[in-house]
Amino acid sequence: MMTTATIANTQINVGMGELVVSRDCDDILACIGLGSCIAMCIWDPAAKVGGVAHMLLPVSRNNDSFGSPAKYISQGVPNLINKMLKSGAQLDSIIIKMTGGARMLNIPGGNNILDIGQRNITEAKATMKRLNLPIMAEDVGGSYGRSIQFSVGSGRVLVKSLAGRVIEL
Amino acid sequence: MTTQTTTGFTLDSWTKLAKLGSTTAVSGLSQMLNKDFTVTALSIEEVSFKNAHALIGKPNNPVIGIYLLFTGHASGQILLTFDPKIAFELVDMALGVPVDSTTKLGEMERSVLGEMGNIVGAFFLNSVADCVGSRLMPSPPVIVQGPAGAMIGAVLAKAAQTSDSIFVIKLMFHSPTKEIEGHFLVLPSFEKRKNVK
Amino acid sequence: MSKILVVDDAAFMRMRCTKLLQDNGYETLEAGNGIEAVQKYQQHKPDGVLMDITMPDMDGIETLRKLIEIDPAAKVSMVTAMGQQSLVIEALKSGAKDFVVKPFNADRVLAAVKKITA
Repeated sequence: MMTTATIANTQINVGMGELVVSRDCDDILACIGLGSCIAMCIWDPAAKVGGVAHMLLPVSRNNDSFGSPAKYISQGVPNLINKMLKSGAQLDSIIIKMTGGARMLNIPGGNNILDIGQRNITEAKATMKRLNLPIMAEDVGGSYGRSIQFSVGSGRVLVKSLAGRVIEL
Repeated sequence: MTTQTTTGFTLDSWTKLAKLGSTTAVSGLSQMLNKDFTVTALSIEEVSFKNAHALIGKPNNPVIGIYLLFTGHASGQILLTFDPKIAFELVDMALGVPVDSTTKLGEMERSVLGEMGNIVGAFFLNSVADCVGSRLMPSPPVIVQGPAGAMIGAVLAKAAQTSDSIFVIKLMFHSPTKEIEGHFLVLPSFEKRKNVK
Repeated sequence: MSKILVVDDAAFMRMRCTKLLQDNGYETLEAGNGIEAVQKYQQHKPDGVLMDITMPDMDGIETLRKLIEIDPAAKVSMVTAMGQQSLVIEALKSGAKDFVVKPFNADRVLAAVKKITA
């Protein structure tokens, strides 16, 4: 008789402005209800370390951080990478996936050039380019919210959007 | 060059004005739909990002929001949210069609919800503005659909862009006769801006 | 038969207003924004205008001023949720003949139309 091993996955919700790094292969790092925010998922397949930062805005106006390690992309991405490296990840083996950056609040006749979602995407890409780190997969933009689940064990990122669409990065 | 607070209101004055504004806002909705809505809870508090996701219910719950901005003596954001089923029911009511007629949002349905946000938002702003003898102008409304968490995240991101601290006036209301409830949020911005003379 | 131009960005409000007016023997025209309102006014020379205030691009007060500039005798009544005192005064000073505060009330709207087309 065949037995199926059941894995007790633990889901850890990563709130706005937070970042979480885990070395537990059973952990699922989740961002529930991601709008214009960016979720950056970084995974080291060799060291089996995974981390997520849930960031709200591109850059700080006055270098404040609201006491959050990942409120701003300009601070959150370096903070996440540093924490990953401290947990045993190697810069040359990490895999980066990003989601979010939706345009949620589009006032008719308003100045939508200042759309936060789009600015977040641009800043996230620019930051990775500056750090010379390639983004391997992404699901960004649109005008719908997303929820993501990132498995520390497999590095898979499941992205669910409201329309019932599920994709894997 | 001087630095001054551009908003005409302090947190203290918002706290005082929120109660009257909220009651007036809900009476606007009652008048529009010919139903008796009452305020069930009103709070004004500083938002921490950590718990903000659950401000209008479970982050993963789908909601329909009516969103608008306001400018004038003070500026900020207004968000009125409903469970989609309830939003559809409100559209049915406003259009005078049988319950369950509305199942999706076309142009007409969106404009009904927009008008609802317009009335509720304007009534709130009218009462606050007249209290202090100033003017507050709302933008046209936009209808947003998505998970509650995504909507709140986008609103907070916008607030965090211009405000050093984020306060939210949160109002919950319901109709006693029918199971209709909703959330009404006002996020005034407490912006400090350099004023170039 | 009087011809009334209904200006509102919400399709729902235009529908309610035009239905009410047609049921009461008025001819109606619709505009979804201020720019369209100015064009339709020049084209059709309506006998009266019902004007919302909160609209994208050009708001109702600005549109009112444009209409009065084109035709100082333009008969405009505001129909808006914006009942703030300073705004009512500004609208009347800018040439509005009446000011109806929403939510939509059929009797009040009809009274305003009668007043401006009298």
